[in-house]
Amino acid sequence: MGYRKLVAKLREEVEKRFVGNREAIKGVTLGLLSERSTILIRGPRGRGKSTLMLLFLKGIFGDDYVVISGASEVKRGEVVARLHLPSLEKEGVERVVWSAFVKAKGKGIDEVNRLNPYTAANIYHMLQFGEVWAYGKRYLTRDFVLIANENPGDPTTFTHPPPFYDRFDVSVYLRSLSLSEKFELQKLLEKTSPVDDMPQVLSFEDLKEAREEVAEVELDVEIMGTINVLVRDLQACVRGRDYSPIKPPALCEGCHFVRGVCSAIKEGPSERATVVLTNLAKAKAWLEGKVDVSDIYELALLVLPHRMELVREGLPLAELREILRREEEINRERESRGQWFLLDKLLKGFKADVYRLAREIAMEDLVFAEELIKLEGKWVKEGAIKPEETLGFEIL
Amino acid sequence: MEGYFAEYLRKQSKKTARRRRGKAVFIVEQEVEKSSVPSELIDRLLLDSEGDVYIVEKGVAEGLIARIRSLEEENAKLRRINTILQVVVAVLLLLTILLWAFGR
Repeated sequence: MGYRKLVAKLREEVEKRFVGNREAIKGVTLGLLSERSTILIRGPRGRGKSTLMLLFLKGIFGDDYVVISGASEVKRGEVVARLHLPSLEKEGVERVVWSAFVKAKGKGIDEVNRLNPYTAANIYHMLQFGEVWAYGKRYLTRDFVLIANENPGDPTTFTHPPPFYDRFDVSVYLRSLSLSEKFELQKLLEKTSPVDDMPQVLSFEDLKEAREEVAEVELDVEIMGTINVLVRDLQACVRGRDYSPIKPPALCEGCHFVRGVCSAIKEGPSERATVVLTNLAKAKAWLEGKVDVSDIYELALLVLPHRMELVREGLPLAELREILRREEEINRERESRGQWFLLDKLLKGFKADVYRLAREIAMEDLVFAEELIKLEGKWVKEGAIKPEETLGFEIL
Repeated sequence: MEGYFAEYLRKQSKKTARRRRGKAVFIVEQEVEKSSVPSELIDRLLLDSEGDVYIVEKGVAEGLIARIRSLEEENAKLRRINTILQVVVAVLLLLTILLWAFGR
C-alpha cells in the first residue's frame, strides 16, 4: 500500500472510533505530515482530547509511545533526564539518564496546561530543534510525533508564554457533540472500546517516508503568495505594534490604515505561521491531490488561533474566521484595483504615472505601501524622485 | 525568493482586467462586495454598516461628545418649554371649563 493510502487509512480508522469533529481529525492528520510535528488538541473537559491523542499515537506507534500527564509536580527527570547517581557516587562520573519521553518517537502530553513553566521550558528546545540538553549533555531526538492536549479553561492552568504555544505546529478545537452524534457515540461505546481496539495502521518509518514525499511537493506560486500575503497582513503595523507597549485598538487611534485587518489584532503571528501553513498546504496537496487558495484560509484556522492575540477576546475562533473573511475581501479589492499589476510594472522600473496611482492605493494598504517604500529607496538613490516626495516620508 | 515574488506579481497581474487605448492602459476596476464590518465609527453613523468594534480618532470622539452635550442642552430646553406649554394648556382648559360652567 502506498504511503498516501496508509495515511488516509489512519484517518479513516480514527474516524471510525471518534464521533464528530471531522475537521479536527483532518487537521491532526495533515499536521502529522511534516518533520517533528507538534499538535495541540484543545477543548473543555470530556470532549475526547485524550482519546483523540491516543487514537493517533496508537495508529502510528502501536503500544510503543510515551505519554506524560501534565501536573505541576512532574519533575524534570521524568520529562527530560536525570543523573545516574551510582555512577556519580562510585566513579564520580556524571552519566545522564534520558527519560523515556525524550527517547520515544511517539510522545503525548496530557493536559499540557498543567505542566509547571519550568518543566515546559525544558521541552521548548526539543519542539523546535529536535534536541534536548541536560547537565551539559545533548540528546538528539531527531524526528518524532508529539501530540498534546489541554483545557484552557481548567482552573489549574499555568499561563504558558506565547512562544511555548508558537512551537506547536497545529492546534485543533473539539466541539461538543450534536444530538445525533450523541446517539452515535452511545452505539459506538456499546460495541467497542475505541482506544483499545485501535490498530496500528502504519509505522513511524512509513510516516517518515510520507513526510519526505510531502516535503518534495511543489506549491503553485499563487498558493505561496496567498500564504505570505495573509501572514504579512496579520503582522504588519505601521506603528510598530510588536515593540509598542500600547496595543490595538488604543494604538490605532488616528491611524489611517484602520480599514485593514491589523486593527483587530493585538499580537500577530510569528514567521513559524508561514512555515507551518506552507507545510500544511503541501500535505493537503499530497494527501488530497489538490490545494487551492480557499483551502489556505481553512488551513489558517489550524495554524493561527494559538499564535495570535486578538482585540476581541470573547470568541477567538469566530473572530479569526471574521478576520480571514475580511482578508479574502481585501485580496479581491487588491485584485480589482490591479495593485499587484502596478507593483509588477514598478518592479521593472520607475514610471511616474504608475507610481502616482500606486501611491494613492498605498495610502489604504499597508502591505502594499511597505513594498512601494522599498522601491522608493532605490528610486531616490537613482535620482528618479526626491526623498521628501516619497510615500515613506509622508507616512513613516 | 525575489524570483518567487516577481513570479507571484506576474501571475496576479494577469488577473487584472485592463483596457488598452492607444499606448495607454486602463485598469477596469471590478465591483467588490463590501464587508458589513467596518472598523470606523463614522461608517457606522453615516453608512449604517454593522460591527462590534470601532476605532475612532480622539478629535471625532470629542466632536461627538460636544454634539451629544449640545443635544442634551437642547433636550433640556425643550423639556422646559414643554412643561410651560403643559401648564398653559391646563390653565386654558380650566378657564374653558369655568367659562362654560358660569357662562350658562
